[in-house]
Amino acid sequence: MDNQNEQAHQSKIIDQFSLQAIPFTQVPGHFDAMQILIELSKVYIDDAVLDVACGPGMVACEFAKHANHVTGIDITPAMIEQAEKRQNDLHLKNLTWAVGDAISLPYNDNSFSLVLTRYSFHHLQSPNITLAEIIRVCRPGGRVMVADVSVDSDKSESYDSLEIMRDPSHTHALTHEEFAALFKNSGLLDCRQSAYGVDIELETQLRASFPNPGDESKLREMIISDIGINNIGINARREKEKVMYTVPIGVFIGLKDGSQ
Amino acid sequence: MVDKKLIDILACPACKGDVFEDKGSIECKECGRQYPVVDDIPVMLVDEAKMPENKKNEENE
Repeated sequence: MDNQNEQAHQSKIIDQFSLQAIPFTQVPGHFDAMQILIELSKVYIDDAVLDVACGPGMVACEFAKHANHVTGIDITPAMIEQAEKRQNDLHLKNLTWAVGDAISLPYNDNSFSLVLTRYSFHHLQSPNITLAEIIRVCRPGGRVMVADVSVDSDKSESYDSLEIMRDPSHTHALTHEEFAALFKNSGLLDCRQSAYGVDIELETQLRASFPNPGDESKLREMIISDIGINNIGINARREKEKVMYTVPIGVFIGLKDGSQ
Repeated sequence: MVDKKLIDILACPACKGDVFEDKGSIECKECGRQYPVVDDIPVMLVDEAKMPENKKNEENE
């Protein structure tokens, strides 16, 4: 990937997430399943945690209640601003923040005992590079956890089309197989996976999204016409008067080899 | 001031060199890039870094 292309993609991410910084925290599904991540990561009081692409700090602040210290990093300054605000609102002291890129993390090797990232991989053009960076900054014997959209391979193309229209900084949601292969080939040990779904109400999500002009009605139509068909893999459905759908999330965890 | 604990683990995203805080920016001991600090938050983006003139010349040699 050339540098110009990478920079253009970074700008797209910063543009989208500067707009989404506040609305993102108001989509109820984004706070769900936090307990699942806490339990799967086995976070404990001695942990030095890094949250990569931490967004408005929802995960970082939650983990800070269980860990010794949490560092959050995100490429979008507006997200870090929201994260710091959240930290202050919650009166948490054990967090620090930085603006930075997941392609080249600005940390020394072996700096953290738990490195995690939630809902970032579908924005990356080279998830393998970010995973390698995550592993580099994780201590030997430490844990790596990635939680992100993980779709069936036969739904992948439709899901990507929908998401790219809703959020132009989306690149590709890895399929279950692609995620499993990424972890298997990463050198991480004892790799495990789990899954959960995030229930989202269509209109709430559209209010928190910033598609290109004219695409909002196309998005609504795409999702409503998938009710009962499920080509997109999000189980679009009507519940009472509302259109709901469920984004499938995979959680992948591995240990960094402690024998090196 | 940037949190001292954060400085201890920070590295230059361009060359992974150790960094230190100097006059309100984060400077790399290896390549000399200077990263801005905005409201006590280090902005560790290579595109946002300044390269001192003497280091620019070294890079071009």
